[in-house]
Amino acid sequence: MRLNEIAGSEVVDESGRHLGRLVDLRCRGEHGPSPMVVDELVFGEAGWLERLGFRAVHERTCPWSSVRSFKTGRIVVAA
Amino acid sequence: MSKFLEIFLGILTAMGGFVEVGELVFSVQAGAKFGYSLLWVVLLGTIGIIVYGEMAGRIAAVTKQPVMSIIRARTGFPVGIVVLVAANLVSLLTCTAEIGGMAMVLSLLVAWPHALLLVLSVLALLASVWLLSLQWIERVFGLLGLLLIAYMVTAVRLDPDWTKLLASFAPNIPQLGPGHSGITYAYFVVALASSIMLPYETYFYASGAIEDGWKPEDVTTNRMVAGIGFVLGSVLAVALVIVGADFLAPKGIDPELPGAAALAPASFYGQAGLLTALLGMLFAFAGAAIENALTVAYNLAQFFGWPWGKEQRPQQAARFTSTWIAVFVIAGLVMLTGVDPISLVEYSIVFAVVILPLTYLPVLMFARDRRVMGSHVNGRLASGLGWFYLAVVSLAALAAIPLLILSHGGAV
Amino acid sequence: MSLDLVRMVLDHQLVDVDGIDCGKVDDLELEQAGGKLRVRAIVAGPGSAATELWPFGGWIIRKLFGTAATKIPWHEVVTVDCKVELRLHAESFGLLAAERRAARWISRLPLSE
Repeated sequence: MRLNEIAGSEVVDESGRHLGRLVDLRCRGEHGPSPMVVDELVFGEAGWLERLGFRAVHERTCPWSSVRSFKTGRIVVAA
Repeated sequence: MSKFLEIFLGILTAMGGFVEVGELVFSVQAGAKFGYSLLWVVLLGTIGIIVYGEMAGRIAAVTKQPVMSIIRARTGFPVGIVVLVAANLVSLLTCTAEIGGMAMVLSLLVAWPHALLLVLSVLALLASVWLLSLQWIERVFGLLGLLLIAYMVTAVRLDPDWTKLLASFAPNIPQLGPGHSGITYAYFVVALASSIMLPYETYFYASGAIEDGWKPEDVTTNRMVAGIGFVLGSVLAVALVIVGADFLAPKGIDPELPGAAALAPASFYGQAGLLTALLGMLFAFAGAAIENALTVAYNLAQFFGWPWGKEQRPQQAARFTSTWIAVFVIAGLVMLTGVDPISLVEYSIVFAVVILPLTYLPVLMFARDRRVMGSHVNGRLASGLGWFYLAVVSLAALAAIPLLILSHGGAV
Repeated sequence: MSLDLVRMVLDHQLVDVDGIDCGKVDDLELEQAGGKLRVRAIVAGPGSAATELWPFGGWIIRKLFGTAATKIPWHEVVTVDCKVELRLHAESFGLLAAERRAARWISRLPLSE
């Protein structure tokens, strides 16, 4: 799966409530020889004003461990 | 001492390299149609280009990243490519207009066929960029462009009403005579401002700063060069307004062609005056053509991550080199189709202002980002002026095409 | 030191071991394995860009630049700073092929030393 495909996907909780859109994937480990592991999802509302940089995206994060389903277009996380 | 010399040369280069065919045509016409009353636009535009030129140069010195690279990194590929295509089309158009201007000036110097003059212009530009280093290109064309001082001398000689002149630097709406409508005035406001704040100036200035290896310590130098160089360049624009207002208009001379402006120094200083003015225009237009061709190459290479730089050997930055060569060739071919250079100049100025917000916004965003700029991040003044000018150019961008149409290209 | 993939890696400059610019990080290939999400490789090259654009734009890019899309395994990355530095020469990854083609015709011009 490609980053460009998954970025912007809708993030919902297990009851289907809209939480935001996927903004970034955060890796906390050392970047080096070991494969880069994704530790956190960064999501929020990124409308036009945010994308152009007028407003900071209100970012929320959740750990990878709370992700229940990770598919292009729709990501489900435990609340 | 050598540092002082560098700054001095930088200022002279910015000054001589500032005037290009669009600015010349619109300044002279502005003076002829509206007297001094558009001078506040020259002041407004000059402060604008200083603000954004300084920001772009500072970003380049601190991050070593050029504008197009930053745009892609921050806004992503889909938005970035729109900016890239828009900016490059405008620069290609501008380069074509400059080559047209060169041929027009040459036709006043030698009575050779127009097509031949176009081909010679293109060949001379290709040879200059191929053989000279970036520094030497800037010096040669910048300093020779300073021959335009002939216009400054002429303007003083015309003994303008200095009080009225100074008053016109404050924003004013003139009493419009029966011949000219408010729409035309508004069109000239937008066009004149655009010709001073052309997008390529930001891209080229930042790329040049990286090629010259500017470091964070050079930020102060950056401010001085940007400030003084652009101001002096605008003094040339003011001189052209005076020539239009106090020489061409009273004599009823149509100011549309670049050559018309040269009649003023000719009338006071004879052959010497005419020659100086024409050569000054020739080198200024050539310098602008070169800067625009290189801007297209810089933008393309920086967006796609290719090796780039005029200071590299051509083979080390092969796609970059091929690009500026292609720009000159395409521009020459377009001119050979017989398109009217003055119309082309007009369209290049109008479309330049339409895309200006797309250029300025990423620069402002980046210059305000403390994570990236560290201690060199925008202060309140830089950000305040940055936002102000972003609003100004956005308004101008929206109004430009309607005004172009409604005023019939400034003819009404 | 956390690394945000979209903000700090995607669309950033790639440089090889000699510091030569060799393209941009056009995309990242992710894999889910063993309950973890990993970055497997960097994707560079016009082929990857073509898929992002609306159909017409993608077609133009494919026609002009081809469909080559190079994958660089993540373990070849040395550091991610302003630029993404790679461990080896650009050629080892199949990058800069178009640049070399352009260099061949440039070198035919006089005084290209």
